[in-house]
Amino acid sequence: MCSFEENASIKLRKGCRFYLLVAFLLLLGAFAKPAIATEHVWGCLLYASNSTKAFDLPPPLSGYDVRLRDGLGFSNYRVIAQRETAVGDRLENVLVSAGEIQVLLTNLSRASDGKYLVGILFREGTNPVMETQARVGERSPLFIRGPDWREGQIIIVVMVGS
Amino acid sequence: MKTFEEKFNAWLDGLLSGEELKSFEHEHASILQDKAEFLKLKSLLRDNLGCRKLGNPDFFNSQIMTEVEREIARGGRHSRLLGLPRIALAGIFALCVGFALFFSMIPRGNLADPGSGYVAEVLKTRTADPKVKATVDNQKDMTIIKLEGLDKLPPDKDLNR
Repeated sequence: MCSFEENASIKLRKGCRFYLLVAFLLLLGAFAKPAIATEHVWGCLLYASNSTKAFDLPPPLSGYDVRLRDGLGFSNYRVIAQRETAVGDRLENVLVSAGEIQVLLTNLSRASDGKYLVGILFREGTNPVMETQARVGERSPLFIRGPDWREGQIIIVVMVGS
Repeated sequence: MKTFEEKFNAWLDGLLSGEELKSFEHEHASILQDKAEFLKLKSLLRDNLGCRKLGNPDFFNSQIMTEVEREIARGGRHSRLLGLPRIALAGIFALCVGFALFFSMIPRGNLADPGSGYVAEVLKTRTADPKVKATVDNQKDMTIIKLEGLDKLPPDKDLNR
């Protein structure tokens, strides 16, 4: 039969092991988080024009106003459609669509450097227009200048962010 | 100098004498008449609040001494267990918790600039229609794929569906 002191030291040692286990699990959780997180891909269709209406950018593109103005040459941007998709097992995920314009995600994988390899298909109705493969970072939007419409142009934006 | 309690106890026990006794009884004349009551109370306390004698004192003494010896024998090991290894373990644990919190809760990158860490590299583009040409424009913090040769959408086309 163990005395009180023997029990105390055994409990103490068990307690230390428990702390180490908890610390290990915490570390594991912190590092494993990016690997097990569900990937979300945000797709957006913007109507870019030089109309005098107020500048209107969706929150994921906040901070891009100057770059958009300089890079695309339009001063006004209006959201036509936007959607955030949790990428599942399906081969083709519709990222965003408006009218006959459809933007589909054909593949998504994460490289060892943490960047994403994305496959995007731009379709008008059932006709494929353009397919691209790109390597993107998290929250790094890729812009595609689409067809002209009215006094401006349709801009497709795709951004991966968990 | 004796306190009142000391003098009072000595007076009750009949230990005060001479000048000291006269002086005490002169200063505290009122307690003389209650001396009998004080003595009665004292004898009651002595009879009822005295230490209980154990029936087997040797057994308890030996048990206490055994515990004391065991405690002395274990003193080194016990202090070792509560000493450096435990501090080291606590340090490792605190470091692990700190790292875990750092990596899980503190966002990395320059938060002031949304373009910091921007990576968008077009590896391949392919158009279905040969008259449509895709070119890549790599600007600072902004990669644009330009599609030239696309038909203009009819202005009355409703895209807000």
